[in-house]
Amino acid sequence: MIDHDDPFDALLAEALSPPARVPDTGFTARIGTAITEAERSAPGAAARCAGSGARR
Amino acid sequence: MHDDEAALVARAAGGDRRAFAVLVARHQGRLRHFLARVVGTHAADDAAQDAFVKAWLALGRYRGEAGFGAWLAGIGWRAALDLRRRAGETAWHAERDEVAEGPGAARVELERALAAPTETERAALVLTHGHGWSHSETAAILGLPLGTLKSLDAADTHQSEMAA
Repeated sequence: MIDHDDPFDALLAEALSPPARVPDTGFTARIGTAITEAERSAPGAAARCAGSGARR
Repeated sequence: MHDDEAALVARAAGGDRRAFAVLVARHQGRLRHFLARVVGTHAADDAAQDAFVKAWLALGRYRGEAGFGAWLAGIGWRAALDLRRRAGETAWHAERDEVAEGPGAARVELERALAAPTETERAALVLTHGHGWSHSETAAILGLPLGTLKSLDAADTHQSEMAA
């Protein structure tokens, strides 16, 4: 159990917590490009939702 | 979890790239931070990219047993391990240089202690102590039995505490 009243646990939590930051739009765009490339290079990928009855 | 997350996931599973972009924007910070702590900042972004692409391709099979963030973290963890295996890297070179300049000797010593454990041990520490996942959620993310995870966490915390 994590006890944030414990000074060491608090220090650990501070050291390991993700920083609050504004979303990186460049990274989001990079993911979009990577998805496009993955779907282009893997013929079955574009139909990934076919088995779930989802729309494309 | 955001109230609208399930709706976004459902839309993304249906092929809505804009909905998935919102999920990427929302989760990228935590995922990249987690992976940076485990495999270093450079490899982290590549692993995060792999994770998001794999998540997109697998969304049709996501059933929501775990929250989207936990499911994504598990994919990211496996992507990081794959990346490291392919690269044949063994050394960790994460964010130590940045944080070593922070205030307080205890913090610096703590950072050194955090660099010492294995990837799995570091991952367990980050997820439970930094990101607030429960032991059972962290065990699921890392694909470990709960008892193993609890033992790892207790040992790592003790080791870090001794060093700090």
